[in-house]
Amino acid sequence: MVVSAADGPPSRRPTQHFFTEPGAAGFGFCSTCGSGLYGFGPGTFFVAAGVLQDLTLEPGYHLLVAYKAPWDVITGDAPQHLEFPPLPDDPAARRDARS
Amino acid sequence: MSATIHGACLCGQVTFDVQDPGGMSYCHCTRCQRWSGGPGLAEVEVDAANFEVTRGEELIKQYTEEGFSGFGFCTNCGSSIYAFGEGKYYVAAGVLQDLEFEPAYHMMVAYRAPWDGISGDAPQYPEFPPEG
Repeated sequence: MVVSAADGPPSRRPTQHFFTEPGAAGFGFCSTCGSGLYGFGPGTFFVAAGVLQDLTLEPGYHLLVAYKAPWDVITGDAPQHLEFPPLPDDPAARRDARS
Repeated sequence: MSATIHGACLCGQVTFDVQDPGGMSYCHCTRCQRWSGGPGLAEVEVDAANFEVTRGEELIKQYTEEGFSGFGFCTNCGSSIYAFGEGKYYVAAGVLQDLEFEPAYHMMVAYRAPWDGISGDAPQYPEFPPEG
């Protein structure tokens, strides 16, 4: 979930640790308990829903469904994208939306 | 003895093997939500004697609180590896390779997140599954 725009991870704090690999989203976690806190990329954090309190949002979509585990049964009516969701200004996306 | 199930964390520096697992289940409790960052923990139960860390044991940190299952994670990449307690490990399904299990049940469903839509036909228990 997107909750904050930033140019990168916050300054390192004693209880936060980051894991990054070239070309992939980074991850931030608590170095004391291991809780998964967020993924992050250029300008965006994707905060783990499980660590947010009293969240009333519903999932907007599922992404990278092509790679889901065999035991992962997706439920609900949210759109499922094999890889990434189309960008809103992508003509192909508008075409798909009409069909 | 069943085939060995291999597992690895995201960065690959911790690897482990599981033998004779007891089955797979989902825990939807708030502790598992916070720890995993997701709707809970999909976990494979295994006796402690049948869980072996084959590489990177020194990178695993265990987090414990009195009266609850402990958690073990990779200190390099943060991957959730297992919950543990009372002679068993509950290995995170997401770090096990080529897992062919289906969940046998969902537990702690009374505490699930509002956005957690449970699917499938497996029994759902408000708290723990019945004994036996």
